Amino acid sequence: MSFSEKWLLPKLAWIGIWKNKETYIPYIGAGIFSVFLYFVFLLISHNDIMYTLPRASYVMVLMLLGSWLLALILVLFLLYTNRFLMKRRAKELGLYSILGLEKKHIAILLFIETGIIYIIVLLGGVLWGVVFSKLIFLFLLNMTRIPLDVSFSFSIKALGSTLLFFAVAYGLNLIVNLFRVMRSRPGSLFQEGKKGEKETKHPILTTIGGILLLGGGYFLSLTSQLDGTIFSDFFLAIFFVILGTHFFFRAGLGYLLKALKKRETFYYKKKNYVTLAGMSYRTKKSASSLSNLCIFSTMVMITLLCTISLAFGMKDILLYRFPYDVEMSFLAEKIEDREGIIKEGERIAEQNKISVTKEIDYVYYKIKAERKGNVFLNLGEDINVWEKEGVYEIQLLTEEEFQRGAGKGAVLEKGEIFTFSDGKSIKESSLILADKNYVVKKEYETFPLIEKREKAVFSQQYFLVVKDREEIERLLQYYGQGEEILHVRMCVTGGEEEKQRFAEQMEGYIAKNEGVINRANGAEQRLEILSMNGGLIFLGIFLGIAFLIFLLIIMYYKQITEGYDDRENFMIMEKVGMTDEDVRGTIKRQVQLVFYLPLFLAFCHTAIALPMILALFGAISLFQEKLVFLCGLGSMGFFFILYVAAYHKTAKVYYKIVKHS
Amino acid sequence: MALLEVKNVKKTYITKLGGDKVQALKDVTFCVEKGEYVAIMGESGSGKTTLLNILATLDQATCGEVLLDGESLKNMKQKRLAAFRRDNLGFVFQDFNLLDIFTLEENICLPLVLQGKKLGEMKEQVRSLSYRLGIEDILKKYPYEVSGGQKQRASAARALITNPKIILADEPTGALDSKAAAKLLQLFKKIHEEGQTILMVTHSVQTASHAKRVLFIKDGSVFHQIYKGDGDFDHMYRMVFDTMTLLQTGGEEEQ
Ligand SMILES: Nc1ncnc2c1ncn2[C@@H]1O[C@H](COP(=O)(O)OP(=O)(O)OP(=O)(O)O)[C@@H](O)[C@H]1O
Ligand SMILES: [Mg+2]
Repeated sequence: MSFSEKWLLPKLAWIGIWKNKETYIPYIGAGIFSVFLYFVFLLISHNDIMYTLPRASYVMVLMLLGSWLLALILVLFLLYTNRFLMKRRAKELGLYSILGLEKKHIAILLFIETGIIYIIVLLGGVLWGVVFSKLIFLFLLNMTRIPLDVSFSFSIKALGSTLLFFAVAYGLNLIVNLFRVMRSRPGSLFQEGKKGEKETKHPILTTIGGILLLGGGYFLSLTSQLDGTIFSDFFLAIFFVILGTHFFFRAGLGYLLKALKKRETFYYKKKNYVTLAGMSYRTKKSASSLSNLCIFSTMVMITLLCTISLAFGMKDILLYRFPYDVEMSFLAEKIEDREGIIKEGERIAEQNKISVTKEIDYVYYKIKAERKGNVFLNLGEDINVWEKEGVYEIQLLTEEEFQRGAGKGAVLEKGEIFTFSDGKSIKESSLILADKNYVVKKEYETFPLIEKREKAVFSQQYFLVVKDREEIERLLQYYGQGEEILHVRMCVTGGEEEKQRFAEQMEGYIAKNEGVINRANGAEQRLEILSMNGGLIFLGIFLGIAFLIFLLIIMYYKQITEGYDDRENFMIMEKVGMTDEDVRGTIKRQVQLVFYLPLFLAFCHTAIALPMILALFGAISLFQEKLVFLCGLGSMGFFFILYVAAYHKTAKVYYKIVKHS
Repeated sequence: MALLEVKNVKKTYITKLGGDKVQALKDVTFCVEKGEYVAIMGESGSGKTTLLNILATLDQATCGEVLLDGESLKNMKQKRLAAFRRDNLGFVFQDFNLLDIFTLEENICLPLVLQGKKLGEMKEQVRSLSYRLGIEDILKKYPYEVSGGQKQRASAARALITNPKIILADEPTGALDSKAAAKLLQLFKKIHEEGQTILMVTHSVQTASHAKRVLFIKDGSVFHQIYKGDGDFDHMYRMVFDTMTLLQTGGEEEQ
């Protein structure tokens, strides 16, 4: 190769980009945004501060998960935008190959082009990232209530990872493009701009595959339960639904268009004619747009739903998880002065100028038993087994102890019991304990300082109240375990800081006691939960905005690229006598098909996802179905408005491009 | 009254950069009677396309008037123009201007669909027309699957399907080889004989000689006209050829 030849390809690459500005500017813009997002995300999670901050570990884990999700979506997004680009570049590349460039040269050309874009995109994205990451970081800290007095540092590692990730992502795009070029004959590459897209190869198989995948995803969600497999099921369901949506649109759209075109009285109508023909002319591209619109719409709605639900449900989570400010357990035999502990609590409160609002103390015996219907069996050898279905932790109380906490109520006779479950209700009229039948006089729905959540499945405990010590002895003998434990819980007035101080002083006091088994500081733990959930909310906002912008870019992208594609067609049609009104009518029809179809399916996805989301919320103790349901409705409504508005905006852009001749 | 009256039409283009004025049409006046077959010839840049575009309502004359069937195009509202075009004019373009998204049949149907015609009516019209034009076997094909000549016949079918008052053709044979061109001209002759008015711009003496009358344009105005009268094709060919030679060698205006 001579010198001038050596520079021919880079020059052609540059000219290629420059001459197709209209197509490349949005492509590069989308790339810059992707880099920005990813880089900022990494900057935040790689920040040194994150390792030293207290309670940041939850946030770290969340950020890690978030970055994987983000990476996956970015790859999909970049592949999507690349697809549009190549379709438009095909003609030019075909021309080059007719003019004598070999495939090898075209490959080099594409390589150089990708390189140029990679550099531009990274420069832009990193620059924006540097400018805005600090702001976003402060926002994260604020959300998670982590103290703000920190400096934010630039991380070389984050930069490295970003460079690497996008090298891989753009590499993938390049490979896809090279594959297409290598496979095609030069003439066909040239014709690519003109010829309609090939139909899907195996329409029936694709349709069945799509339906199966969607069905699988839906099934996973509808049958989901809060157990060990929920997280893997969740990701599996996402995977199924994304793939299924793609398949479904790919084949389904082909079918739909064919069927509509066959109904000639429908097809040969002014408002349908151009739209249907145009869409079947590029079924694949339309399908990929529709599925991406659908998927991103679903993501935006679900993220929105989760974020608001969490924000609104936080109070309830805290109340459920830590309804008290101090919790203490002692070996009852070691405690002589039970009242003394309570008195001390009151004294400490008074010292801090606050008062004890709620207090409960009772003695119980802890046993474990296996429930079969209304029979509770001895666990025998399995005493240390936790995972086994139907194994419950049971607190046995005497009536006297129970009344200390719950106040005077109905009176028990021998052979009668009260029951309470902090999770799913027991709902039996009698129980067989230690081979003896007990009549359930009442199942309590509330219990002082122990919150009940019907849906909770982790840490389920039963409380059984019997007549007297004698009965308890009998039961202990049968179930063969159980220490006598004194349990004390207290709530005080004042803000979180005062509660914290109270709890610390109280802990200081009881540490002197022998026989302390356990103690918990509610204020402290609430803070931990707040920090974790704050991280979740931040993630929700960050990803939600990201998804929304992806969605808008896809919409915009679709409209402008298709606008340029359709421009010539509309010009011809106007010459043949298409009025301006007809043009608007056609575009409107396109709106209805192209934009409401995916929206409709996205609503379906979101609605079906609700059971799974509820189950997942169970893992962080959010059990308010009604709230989640309302938030779901709200998110859908809000999104609908946003979607329609965004659509009309982009439709206008499309109209402008089409009419500008 | 003539079907088409062109009265003192002028067209001045103002180029965007620098504001230079290009006078594409200086003063064009002529008439086309119903059922006539007229060719327009002239050198490249003489203003043929400009004239045709004005007649086609795709462009507006700077001054002067164009009347179609007594109706002035000038005062017509922009909004109505497209519908007017669709209902009264038929075009055949040099580069066919068929839409890739449609099959030939659908392309031909397009004006009717835009008119809101009934399906049965449309189908019947397409069927009989495509039979006349000899493209009934390729109706289901897409434009990229057929030859240039076939495309141009489909394009002609699309122009004819609305029974327009006049067919306007800008170099319809320009992109065709001589065989396909001959076939198309045969077709034009046939439809002309059936009573269709045709106005055709062409570079080719051969093509122009098929017309009943040839208008010559030079530097934006009508320079000369030749009528075929009862003379045969060869006679016409010679006359047109001579006039073109004169035109190109820069002969003075003769009337
Ligand atoms: N949009 C325009 N803006 C400025 N000048 C124009 C425009 N269109 C045409 N012209 C000029 O008007 C003159 C007539 O052009 P026109 O296209 O009518 O020629 P033509 O006779 O059709 O030529 P050809 O035989 O090459 O097609 C030319 O000098 C051309 O440069
Ligand atoms: Mg011309």
